[in-house]
Amino acid sequence: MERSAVLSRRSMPEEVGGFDLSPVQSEEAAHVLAVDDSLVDRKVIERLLKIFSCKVTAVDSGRRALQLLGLDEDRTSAGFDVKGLKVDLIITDYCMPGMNGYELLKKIKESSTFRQTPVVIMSSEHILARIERCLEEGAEDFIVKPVKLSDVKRLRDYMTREDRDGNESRGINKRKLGDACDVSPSLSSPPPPPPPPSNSSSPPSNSSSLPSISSSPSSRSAPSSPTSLDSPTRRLKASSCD
Amino acid sequence: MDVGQLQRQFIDYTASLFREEWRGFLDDQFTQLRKLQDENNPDFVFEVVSLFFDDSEKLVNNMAKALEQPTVEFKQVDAHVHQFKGSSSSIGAHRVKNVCVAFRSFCEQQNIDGCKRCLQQLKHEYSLLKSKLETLFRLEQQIMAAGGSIPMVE
Repeated sequence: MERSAVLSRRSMPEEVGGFDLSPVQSEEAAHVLAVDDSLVDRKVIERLLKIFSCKVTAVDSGRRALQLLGLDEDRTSAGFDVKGLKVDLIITDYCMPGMNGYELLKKIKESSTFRQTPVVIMSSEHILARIERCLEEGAEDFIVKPVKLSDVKRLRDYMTREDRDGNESRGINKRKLGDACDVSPSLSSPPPPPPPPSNSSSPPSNSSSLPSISSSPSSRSAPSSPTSLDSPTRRLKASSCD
Repeated sequence: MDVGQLQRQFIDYTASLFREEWRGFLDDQFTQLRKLQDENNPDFVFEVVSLFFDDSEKLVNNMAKALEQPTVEFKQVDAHVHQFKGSSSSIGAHRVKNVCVAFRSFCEQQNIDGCKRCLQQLKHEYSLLKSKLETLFRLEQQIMAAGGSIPMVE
């Protein structure tokens, strides 16, 4: 599409989308590492985070993320003194070729340097078993795509709270999964939710557990730590479910 | 045309793209993206949409190639459709996304005719969307050239 130089548009709003844009309370801007194989989604998440005054590093794979964090096994075993990036939050897509978001989450939680760093998973597929598994593995939150301003605002609240308290805020933000809606079938006869896509040659190692759990989409086992806070899973819209 | 007329035209045209919720070209996510635009990022929506259309070309070509193989790898086709569904959802391309949903179930059923029909529908929907958005961006340019500001349509 063609586009000639544009004149300046409306003046800078004090609010964007009705949200207060006052900077995060900490002295430095929060640094967020965003991981997503989709270029469109990287651009959107980067803009969303910058609106909340975050510094953003966006990468296209789990492997690349681990390299930046200094957690890439190949590099460290070669004796490199890789000083990882300082990050306040890691936000990653779930479905990515090669290493998926869950695998990345596990690697992060296994590391001594980054296990306290909040990790948020994003996915276009609203699969309860997937959400539970990620939260159990230590994910801070689970966002159903497409990502909106309100989702990112909630994330900013984690970082602010942690800066102030210096504590892990995981417990506070656990989702009340019992309220989550089922995967809504898009056809009259519900198909089983599709497995996470990947390169056909290397499916994620944990995909074998999905089909058996998600073949009964009406199962709703809630975890034992519910809260009443705003649940990302409530954002489910019938039209956007698979 | 004066700015007021252009702005009214813009509002009407935008509203028409969202009309008939289940058949609208655009959904709320597009409005979300508009909210991310400001003086310092005046072309954000245009840039994201352009990325989407570049991406789409590649994905559609990949899907077509995969469907032409003597033995169709449905998982591979599905992977492309999944990607397309994701990016169309991210920009609020409502109809395109819905075709992707149907397409994925044909992949699951390994229904080659269904897949091919969906591919044609996908090409149709995304070129329709592309021309609609081009019209919208052109209207915006006209408004700004006439010294006006872009109305926010919700």
